[in-house]
Amino acid sequence: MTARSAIARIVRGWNTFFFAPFDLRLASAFRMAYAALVLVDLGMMSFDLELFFGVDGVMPLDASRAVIDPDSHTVFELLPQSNTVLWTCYVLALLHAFWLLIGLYPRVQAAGVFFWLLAFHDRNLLLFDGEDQVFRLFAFFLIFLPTHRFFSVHALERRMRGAPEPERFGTAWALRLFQIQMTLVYFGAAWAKLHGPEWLDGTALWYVSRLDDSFGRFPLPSAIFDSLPALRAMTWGTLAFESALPIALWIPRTRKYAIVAAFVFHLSLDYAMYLFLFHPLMSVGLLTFLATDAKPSGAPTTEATTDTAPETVTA
Amino acid sequence: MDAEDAPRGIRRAAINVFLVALLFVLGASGLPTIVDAQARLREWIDPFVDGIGLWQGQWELFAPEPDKINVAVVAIVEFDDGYVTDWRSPDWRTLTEFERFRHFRTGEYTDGIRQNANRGAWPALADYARRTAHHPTNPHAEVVRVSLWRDFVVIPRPAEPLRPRAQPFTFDRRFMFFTKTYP
Repeated sequence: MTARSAIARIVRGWNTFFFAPFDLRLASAFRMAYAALVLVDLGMMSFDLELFFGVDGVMPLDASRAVIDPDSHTVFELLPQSNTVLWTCYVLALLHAFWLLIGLYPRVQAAGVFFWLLAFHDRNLLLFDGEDQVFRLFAFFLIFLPTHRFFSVHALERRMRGAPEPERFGTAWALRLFQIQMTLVYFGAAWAKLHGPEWLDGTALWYVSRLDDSFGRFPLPSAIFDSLPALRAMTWGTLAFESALPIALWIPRTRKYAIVAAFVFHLSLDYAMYLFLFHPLMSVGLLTFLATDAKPSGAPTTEATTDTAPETVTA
Repeated sequence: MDAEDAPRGIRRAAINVFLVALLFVLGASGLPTIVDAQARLREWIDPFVDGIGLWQGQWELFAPEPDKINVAVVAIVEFDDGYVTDWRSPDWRTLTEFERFRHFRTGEYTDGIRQNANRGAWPALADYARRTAHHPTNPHAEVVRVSLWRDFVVIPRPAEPLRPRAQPFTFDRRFMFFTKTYP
């Protein structure tokens, strides 16, 4: 193989990977599920908003600057320090998330959600963990995903004026970003576990199952969680599963089994553990892998879209 | 096969440049450290990644070592007439399902504030405990001292016979990590 043909193959592979047609209804369904989770996340934050972000709370702005990387900045540094401003910002974040849910200029709303999540994350870093990073990165990727054609106010408006259905398939290169990020999470988790002595000797879940802040959400069989052989089997099973998942999700023959197994895995952990919205969010993220099979040949297409929604597909 | 609406020409080139840059950022900041050069690269791009808000951690979920302690944070508040009260992080075992869900962020805060890396936020917690402390009988009493403590219990190594998971534990160690005196 010459260098030129090798490069041509790489370019062809890149184009196939990023610019193949995908069913855009899936992207829209993903947008709605994601926005619903953001609303739950923000809704729970409302109970303690002033405690965690307020001027008389546990983390006034100057204290938060003392513990955060100095390269990270939040818009709250530029705004007046008052609880009225805080609540105004919070309501704006809530509105962006709601408008994202109903698909009103969804790319603009995704940018708004990203902006406000980042603002709150950098305002009190101690409150946020890995799932919040996934929330924030997903909002960023959503800016580039064409999700306005289906399950949106624009779709409703189009239907009401009797306009034809838009093309179901379109370029959704941003969907690949979600898939890559999901893979990164699974790969990182597996890699870290492969370097943990307790994961290798099979005792990791002994410790995890005795953490009072994160384990024991619903009743669990003591025969399993009080048995070292069973805990060892589950520890090694988790290690093997998380190691295989980043690969199995990308192999067409194993993908659907990997998606189902990952759903069950997240559902089980959500049953057993208190990890807030991490497992629901990862389950929603798995939806993007359903789009990996591009438009089947011969699939019906409609005429070129007459969609006049302001956010036309730019991908 | 490209999608019918796939971008062409300059637009496609621009998207490709963006994709390469973004994948580089995601990989550099999110991939586990396999070779030392990655850590140096991560340090190098850190200001940029932080600035644009695309930072992410290393996805070490309960790994490489799972936590081996249960911890609570306690603020002991002392008044000038000798009265002592406290502010405590939630006792997870006594909360309902909804309360645990709703207090998830409190758990994150507690987990973060106890760590030495976040010592810069300790005075703010002490001030908060002072402001919210209630003296039941003397409204004119002033807070003179707040001290922050870690209450914890170490999860023992597994040994036969196993200690049942449901068996209640009590915090058996207490460590003061910060004190603030008020004039």
